[in-house]
Amino acid sequence: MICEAQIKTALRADGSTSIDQLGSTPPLRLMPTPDGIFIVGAAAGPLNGDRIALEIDVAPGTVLNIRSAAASMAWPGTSPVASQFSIKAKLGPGARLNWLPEPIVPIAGSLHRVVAEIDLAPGAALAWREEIMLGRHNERSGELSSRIEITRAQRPLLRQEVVVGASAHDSPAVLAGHQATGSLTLIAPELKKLDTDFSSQLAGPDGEMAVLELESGGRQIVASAVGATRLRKLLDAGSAAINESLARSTDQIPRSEHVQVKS
Amino acid sequence: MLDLTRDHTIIAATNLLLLADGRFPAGGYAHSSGLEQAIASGRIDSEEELRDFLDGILATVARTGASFAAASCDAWRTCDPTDPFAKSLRAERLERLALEESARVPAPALREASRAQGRQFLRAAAGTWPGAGVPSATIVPLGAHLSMAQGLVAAAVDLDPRAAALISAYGAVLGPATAAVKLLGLDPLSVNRIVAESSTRIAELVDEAGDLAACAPADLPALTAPLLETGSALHAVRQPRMFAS
Repeated sequence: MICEAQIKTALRADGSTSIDQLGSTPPLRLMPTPDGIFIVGAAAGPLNGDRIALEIDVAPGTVLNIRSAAASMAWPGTSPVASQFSIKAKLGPGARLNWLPEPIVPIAGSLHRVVAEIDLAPGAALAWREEIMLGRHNERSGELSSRIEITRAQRPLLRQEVVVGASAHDSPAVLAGHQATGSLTLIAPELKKLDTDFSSQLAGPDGEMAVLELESGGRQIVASAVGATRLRKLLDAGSAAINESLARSTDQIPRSEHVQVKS
Repeated sequence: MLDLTRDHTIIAATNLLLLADGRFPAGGYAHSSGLEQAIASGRIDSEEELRDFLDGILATVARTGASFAAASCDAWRTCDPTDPFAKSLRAERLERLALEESARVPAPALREASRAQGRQFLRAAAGTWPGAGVPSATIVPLGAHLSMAQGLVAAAVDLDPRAAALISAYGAVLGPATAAVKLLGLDPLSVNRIVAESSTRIAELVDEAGDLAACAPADLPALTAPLLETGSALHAVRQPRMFAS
């Protein structure tokens, strides 16, 4: 199955955001709601061999929230070819994209590849969350590779590929048996106001998290945990630490301009 | 098999041995590549777990590192330094490689460790081969990463991108393996056996990196190991510690 989907925003005269274009075919369905666009899996998919392409255009000065109602599953199929989900997002000057979907679960025997390419204009802001659960309860994870590429005006800010399902993810250097891993990447002009020595990290038997400062000044919260619930808690703790630090250092900045990472 | 009837092969092999030697004064002894933190987190206590750790390194960050070493070597080798236009293209390509590698390392402690070792690797090489034209780390803004340093030095002593990838991948295994002997008191011979057994995996990395040496920097591997990223941040605030990273 091949699916192409598009989301495009436009700026209304009053400064608010309207959805200018919204199109999708199975297995993907895009539902506009007051809380943003929800991605709904409208068929049992993706299966091996399926290709889904989503194009997102966030117009200058607009805000787009993308969520999903439930975890998405990558299913095994008869095809030996990996299913592919490719996301291309373009953010205009002053635009903001909050990509906060539920986790992806590669089911045993599935082959799935996610490639997200996000290009930001100067002054654009991004919150990009990715959560991967290594298979359903008590099953071996399917093979999943997820590559995130974030650029700003042709300069790379983040290129990162997480691979699970091959044996190496069990390594004490990679995930050490944790069943969930994820990250929340934040690029925003206001992050420059964070202290350069701001750091936040947590570690315990059920997972660990660190807020990392990208070379370009953005932040990435990286976490691994025993399960999806703990993973989300760790990512939320990282974003709360950033928001607290921002609130302390920049009281003069209106609340609404703070990094929006609440889920 | 190396053809040691030819002088230039012997010279190349000698240079490679010098560069890959744990005694090469590039400061690698101060870094455990995440092993010390993994031990502190209770994840490594045995030879078997060290082997798994090294397998994880070879499947992720070592692939990225070997590819950047090979690409940097290619950039240095393919340039005629008497041609000013070629030199400016090379400067641009190295700057792009440095940017691209930094974008693959979100953890500041890991970027810092990589640049500290890159600087020292170039300095040690300049002292070892004074006539080879080894550049300083400031050839790129913010300083060369370790893999770039390995690639540039390999090129300067007339080694090819695959040799650069081998120096990088072997170093990625040898560093934590050496640290494991100090931190866990493992039997050095058993650790040597684990390093020797990783040679097939190293061959795969060298092959991949060699094939990608001339490819656009944006398309090079970007494999990440989440626990090395979070571990580097935890390690940076932990006292006491034996290794810088």
